[in-house]
Amino acid sequence: MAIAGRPAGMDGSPGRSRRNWAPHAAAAVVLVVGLGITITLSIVTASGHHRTNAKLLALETRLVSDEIAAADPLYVEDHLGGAASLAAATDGSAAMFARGLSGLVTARGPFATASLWRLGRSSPQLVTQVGTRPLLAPAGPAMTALLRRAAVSRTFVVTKITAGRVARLGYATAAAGPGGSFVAYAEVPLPAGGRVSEPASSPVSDLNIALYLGRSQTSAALLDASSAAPLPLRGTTYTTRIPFGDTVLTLTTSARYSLTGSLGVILPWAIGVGGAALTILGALLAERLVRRRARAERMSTEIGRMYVEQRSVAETLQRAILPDQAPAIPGMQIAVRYLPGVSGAEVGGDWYDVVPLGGGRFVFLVGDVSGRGVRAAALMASLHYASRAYALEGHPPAVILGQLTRTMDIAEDGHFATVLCGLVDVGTHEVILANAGHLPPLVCGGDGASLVQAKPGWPIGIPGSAMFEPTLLTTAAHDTLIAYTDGLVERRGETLDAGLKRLQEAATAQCGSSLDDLLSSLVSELTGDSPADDIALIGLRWLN
Amino acid sequence: MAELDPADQAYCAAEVSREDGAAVIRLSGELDMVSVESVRSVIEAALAARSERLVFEVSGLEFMDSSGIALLISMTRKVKTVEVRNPNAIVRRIIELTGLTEILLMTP
Repeated sequence: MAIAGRPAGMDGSPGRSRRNWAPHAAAAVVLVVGLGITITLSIVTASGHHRTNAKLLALETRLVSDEIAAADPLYVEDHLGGAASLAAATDGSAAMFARGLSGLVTARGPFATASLWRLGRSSPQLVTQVGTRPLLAPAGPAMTALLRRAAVSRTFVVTKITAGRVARLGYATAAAGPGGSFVAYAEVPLPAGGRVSEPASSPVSDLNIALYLGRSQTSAALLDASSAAPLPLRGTTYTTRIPFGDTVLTLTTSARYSLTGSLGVILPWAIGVGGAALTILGALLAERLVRRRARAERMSTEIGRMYVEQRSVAETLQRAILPDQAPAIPGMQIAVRYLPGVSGAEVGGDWYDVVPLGGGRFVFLVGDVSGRGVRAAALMASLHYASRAYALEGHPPAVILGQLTRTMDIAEDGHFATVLCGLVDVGTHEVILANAGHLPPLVCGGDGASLVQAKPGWPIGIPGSAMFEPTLLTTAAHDTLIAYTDGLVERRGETLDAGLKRLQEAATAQCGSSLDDLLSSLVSELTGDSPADDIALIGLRWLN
Repeated sequence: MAELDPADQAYCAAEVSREDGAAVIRLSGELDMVSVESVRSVIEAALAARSERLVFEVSGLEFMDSSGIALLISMTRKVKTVEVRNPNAIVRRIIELTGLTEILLMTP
C-alpha cells in the first residue's frame, strides 16, 4: 500500500536494462557434464558397433578365404598336376596330356588353354598345346621364366597375364618322369575388368571383396572384385592372405552396409542428438532456475532494505509529532503514552496532542487513523497539524472537527480517522468535548472511574453534513480525564463494551495512584504490556 | 508488506450472491487490516455488475477493526445504500461507537 511504483534499482545490479545473457556456473556445469556424458556414450556405442562390425567382417572374410583356399588350389593341383604327372610318366605323351585335361579346356573354361613343356638344358620345348593360343607368348622370356620357376617349385606357380581388357591367370606345375621333367601350363580366364557381380543371395553379398595375386593390392595384381565398390576398398577393411601355389592370394573385404543392422548405425547418432538436446534443455532449465533464484534473492534483500527504511522514516515522523513530554499547563498535570503495537509490522496512525491557548485554557486531542503504514502515518500528520492550526485560531472542538472533515476523504485516502477533541478551562474545571467517532473518555475521581458519554459524530474522512455536538463536562478537584485510542480496549472475540468495562474497572482501582502510575497500570492491565494494536493515551489531572 | 509476518495474518472469507438487484457479501472470520484488501477485491468484482444496493451479511464476522470499517464506509460512496445485516454485538458496537449508524444501516 505504501509502495507506490517500482523504485529504481529494484532489480539490483545497475545496468539491468541491457539483458545479460552470460550463463551462470550451474548451467555451464550442466551443459559441460551433460555433453561430456553424451559424447562418451555416443563414442562407446559407436566403437562397440564398430568393433562388432569388424569382428563380423573378419568372420565372414575368413569364411570366404577358407572357401577360396579349399577350392582353387585343389582344382589346379588335381587337374593340371594330374595331367602333368600323366605326361611325365609317359615320357611326354601329348595324347595322355590331352586325356588328362579332357573336357576341361573349353571356351567356357575352366582352362582357356593348356600346354605341355619339356624341360631341358636349353629353353623349354613345347610338346603339345590344347585349346586356344595362350595369352602368354609361348616363346617369350616371361613364359620361359615362369616354366623355370615351376621346375624348382614344390607346388604350382601362378602369374597374372593381361592383354588389353582380357586377363588370365597362368598356372604352371612341374612333374618329373623317367624321361625327364615336364611342366604343364594352363590359363584360366579372369572376369572382364576384374569384376564379378555376386548374386544377392550369396552368403557374401553383404561384403565388398577384392582378391589380389601376391601381397600388393594394386590393380595390376587384382584378380577378382565385387562389382560395386571402388578400389582399393576404403573404410573398415579386413585383409587376409591365402597360400596359393608358391605365392599368396590377398583377400580384402569391407562391409557393404552395417553387418549388425541399421540400429547399430543409428544408435550412436540417436544418443548423441538426443543427449545433446536433453543437455541443452537441462542447461536452459538450470539457467532459468538460477536466474529466478538470484532475482528473488535480490528482490528480497531490496524489499527488506526498503521496508526498514520506510519504517524508520515513518517512525521518525511519528516521534517528531508525538513528544514524550506534553507542554506544561499551570494547574494541570499531563502525561502521555504511545505504545506501538506488536502485531503489525507497520507504523500506525494514532496520535495525541496538547495545544496551550493561554489564559488557563488548552485544547487536547486523541485520534486514530484507520489502518497502518506510511500512508496512515502521513494522514495522521496532516490531521495533527491541521487540528493545531484550528485550535490556535480559537475554534471550539466541534468546529475543529468540522474543519478537519474537509481535509480528508476516505474515497481518495482509503482511510478515515476517529478523533476526540476537548477544550479545557483549568480554572473552571469545564471541558467542552467533541467526538468524531472516537471511543468515550474516562473520568477518574473520588467515586471511581466513569465513561463520559460524548455523542459520537461521523469519523473524519466521511463526507456529508456531519455535525458534531459539543458535550460539556465539569470535573471535580483532582479528577483525571483519560482519553485513549482503541488499541487499549479492543480485543478479538469480545465487544468493545467488554473492553470499556475492563478499562473502567482498572481505572477505578488505580484512581488514587500518581498519574504516571495510573497510565502505566492501565496499559499493563489491559494489554499485558504488549498491545496488539498501537495505543495513544493521554491523562489530564487537575492539581486542585 | 503484511505478509512479512505470517503470524499476523487473519482470515476473512467473502462470498458473493445476489438478491433483488442487491449484491450480498457474506463475510465470516476476521475483517482487519490484513484481510481487508482481499475482501475489497471480491467486493469490487461484485460491484462491476452495477448494484444499487450492497448488503454485508456479517453474522459470521468475529472481529472487525477500523480497516474493516473503512472498507464498509468506502462502499457507501459507490452504491446508494450499504446494509450491514445480522451484526453480532462486537460489530454492532464498533459501528455504534464510531457514530456510523446513519451511514451503515444495520438490520435488524
